[in-house]
Amino acid sequence: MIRKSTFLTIPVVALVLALSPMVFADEVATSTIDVAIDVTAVAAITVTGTNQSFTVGGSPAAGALPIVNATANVPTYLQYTSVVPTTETRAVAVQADAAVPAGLKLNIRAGTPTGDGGVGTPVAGGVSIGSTYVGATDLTIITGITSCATGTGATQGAPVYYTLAIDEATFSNLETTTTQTITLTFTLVGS
Amino acid sequence: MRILARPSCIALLALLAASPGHALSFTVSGGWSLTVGTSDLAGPAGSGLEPQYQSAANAVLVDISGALLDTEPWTVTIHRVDVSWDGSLSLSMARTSEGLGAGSISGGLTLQPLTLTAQTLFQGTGNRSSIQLQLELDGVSVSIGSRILAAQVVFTLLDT
Repeated sequence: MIRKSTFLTIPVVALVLALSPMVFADEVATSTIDVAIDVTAVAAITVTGTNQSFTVGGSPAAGALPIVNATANVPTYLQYTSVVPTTETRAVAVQADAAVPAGLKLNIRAGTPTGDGGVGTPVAGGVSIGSTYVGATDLTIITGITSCATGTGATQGAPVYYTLAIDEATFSNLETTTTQTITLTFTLVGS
Repeated sequence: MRILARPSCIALLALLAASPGHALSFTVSGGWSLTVGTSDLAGPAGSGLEPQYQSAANAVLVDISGALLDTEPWTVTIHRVDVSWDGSLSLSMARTSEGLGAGSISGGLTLQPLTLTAQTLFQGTGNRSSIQLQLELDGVSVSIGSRILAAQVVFTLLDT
């Protein structure tokens, strides 16, 4: 009986010792946490540079149209950051707070924007504001903007060129006036 | 023979009871919910988004329990499971506290990028509670677009 008992016990102990490292060196448990990042829409825009000034007066020759001189003939720069879903695009719209005096028209044209991402495409030829412009009407000058950042350097972003010209269609209504200030507002809008 | 076989069974049970880690377990709590928006611009309009964000130092808490001995060793590994992720982002994790308890803890004090395969974050012995972990997100840019990104961090406790 004693010999049988010894025979039974030793193999069982040996088996447990052999299995122990294999079983308990493995995975004991797993657990999970969640990480969620919500990147929300961003629409930020600014315009850099100086105010644009024009004077109208004089003629190159008798009977010719008056000359329009730009005293600050340098572009301003639109700098913007846009974050949108991949299914959406934006545009840059400009609006004036008043119409241009009769006999004149103001052309506003964006150049090719710099920057990272979908900075958009300028509207060819830009837009014109004349004497019939209804205040606060949006006029689109850049389209197809997706998620982007134009940069903030002095000449980064979209250059905007301003040209004041004689509007021959309404020239007969041109009057001598005092200085008129028109404020332009640029906005990132959905498109 | 049946009577004499009982000491064998008792010996087996004793070995199982004394075997390290038989009841080792852990709990992981917390997480990280981050919102990135206009206030995270790196500068004025035209600038990009700040690329790097950190959670609170105690965003995740780990408790390891059930060790019968203070010397009972264990290892915690981590890996990432993408739910809706962007490959340009890097998610990292680091241990920010020693936790409490009679055991020991080491490793994990420097940020470790979370990959899709398990990697050791830290290891230790015995029972430790309130081990604090911090997450860091890097690589955020406007090119990600407006969307919700989600991932899971899977913790695995190994009895080593």
